[in-house]
Amino acid sequence: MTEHCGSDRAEKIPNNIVDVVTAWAERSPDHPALIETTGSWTYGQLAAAISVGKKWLHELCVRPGDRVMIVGENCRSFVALLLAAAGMDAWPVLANARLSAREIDEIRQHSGARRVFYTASESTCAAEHATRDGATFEERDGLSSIAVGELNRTAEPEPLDPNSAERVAALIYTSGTTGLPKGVMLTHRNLLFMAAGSVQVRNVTADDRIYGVLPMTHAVGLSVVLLGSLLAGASLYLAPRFDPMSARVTLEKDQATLLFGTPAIFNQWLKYAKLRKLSSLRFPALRIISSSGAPLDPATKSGIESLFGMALGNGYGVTECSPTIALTRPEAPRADTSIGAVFPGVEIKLAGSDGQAVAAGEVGELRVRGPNVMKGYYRAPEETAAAIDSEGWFNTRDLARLEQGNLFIVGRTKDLIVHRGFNVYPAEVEAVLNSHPAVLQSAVIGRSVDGDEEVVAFVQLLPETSASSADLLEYGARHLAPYKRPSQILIVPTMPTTATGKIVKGELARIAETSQLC
Amino acid sequence: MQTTDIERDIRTFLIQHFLSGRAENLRDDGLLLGDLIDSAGTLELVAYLQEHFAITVEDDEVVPGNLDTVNNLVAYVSRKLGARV
Repeated sequence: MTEHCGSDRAEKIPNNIVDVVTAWAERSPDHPALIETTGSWTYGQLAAAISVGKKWLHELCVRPGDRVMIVGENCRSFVALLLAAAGMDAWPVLANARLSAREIDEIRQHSGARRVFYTASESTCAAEHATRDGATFEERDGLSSIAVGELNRTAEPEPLDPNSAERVAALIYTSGTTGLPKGVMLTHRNLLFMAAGSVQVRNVTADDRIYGVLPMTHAVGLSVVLLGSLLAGASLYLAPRFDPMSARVTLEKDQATLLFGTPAIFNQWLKYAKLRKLSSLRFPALRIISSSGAPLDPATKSGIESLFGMALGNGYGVTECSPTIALTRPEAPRADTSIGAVFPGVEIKLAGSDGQAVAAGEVGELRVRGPNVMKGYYRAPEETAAAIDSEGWFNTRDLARLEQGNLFIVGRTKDLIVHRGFNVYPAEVEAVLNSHPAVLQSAVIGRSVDGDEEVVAFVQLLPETSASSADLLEYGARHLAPYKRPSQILIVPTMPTTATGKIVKGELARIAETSQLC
Repeated sequence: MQTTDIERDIRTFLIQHFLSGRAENLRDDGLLLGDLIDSAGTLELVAYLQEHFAITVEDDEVVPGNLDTVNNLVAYVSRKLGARV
């Protein structure tokens, strides 16, 4: 069956993501836009910083259609550079500074970035990448110290789509089931459609103060948190990483009204409450708390609702859909962990193995169509064609069912682990482990722990070699972002395989769940 | 408690909990928060400091200046213990 929620917002959405700032800078230039521990910008100051950024990009020979890589964590400079690049029709390539050197290099190479920027003064990880790259550290008026890599003279700008709203506003990389990086091209229309819908559902206004810890290098942090906040003229409190102690200070002092997080983040709140021996943690100004990025388990939901004294919203999405596909509505909180109703303006279809819609109430593979579906994977037409069919349906490869207009995710057909709200593709982790000189083969699975999934690796060594689990953990840490690293590596004499030699991951998962692994 | 004892205990905890026992991987100037220690680890670190040194780590004291490197951690705990005395 298909579901469609109507939307009449299209005419109100600007054509370029930078326009959301321009409008508020004219209307309310002194209203706080971005706040962090090192300072704040009003909408007027943010607009000025974007102008400085655009001028700088021109001086650095960036052209429309060029990819501009920004390596950073949540901070004002990151936002200014992102919007400056988008505002001149360059493509911002967003990279979390906490990625490993290998991952940063892969993204830079694949994207063919014209320039790489590192928000060095606000992120030690970005500064380390900058130093490794031999980047030049500079300061510009209104922007803190940013390092700039050398000009890539071989970079070719991509042609501009004649429809400016269909131009790429962000290129976000995901590893994919093959382990190789895929650049998800999200257009201005994708991102602003998502921001506008999120603002509408949550009734975000300029009076709101949003706690922004979800990384803006990922889709939900970019579209829902950052652009949603700016579109509404709200104030966004930026945090580069989450810890419940610092978050509590901000929520109390600054009277945040909206709090977004992943189930892992909300679990940290529960552990914090236990540490502080709190049964109740109330923030009177807080009106919406919302979870996304990973399946929400009932224990986390009920624990948080009891602690905060308010309903915890739930949502679901994928990067390729900008990302939200479904979310619960604040005015209709749910007692279960449904991911809610379809996002306004989006269509969904639950398909059987023949690609046809399943009967009402049946489980099917979730397909999505709408203004939120990506333009495609960059430089990967075959992968794009495999993901989006000729009628525009994107295949999430998640299994879902629909009950009275609300979706439930029941499984997935893709090989993916969701750890702390981040996607971990086993193929990528396996490729890293397999590159160790002592490893014959490896298999990576997810193990459910406290409402989250841990990354667990099984490794078979080459004959007459030796390596300990600690050796391999350390090796993995050198080549993988923290969230992708296995929490445990087990060295096994053999792997369970099928008759054709394919590793049976289900058997490994059973071993992981039922053994005395700790 | 002597500063050398504080440092020894903190190093031991960090090495055992976050470095799988690999003492050689603990850099004196290396970042802890956000690098070696993620958000879940921050709570574990706070719990350890409170329990082991019998101090209270206030929420607004969880800042890089106090907890971000081994040296900062040692100085922070020393101050807390000195202030209590």
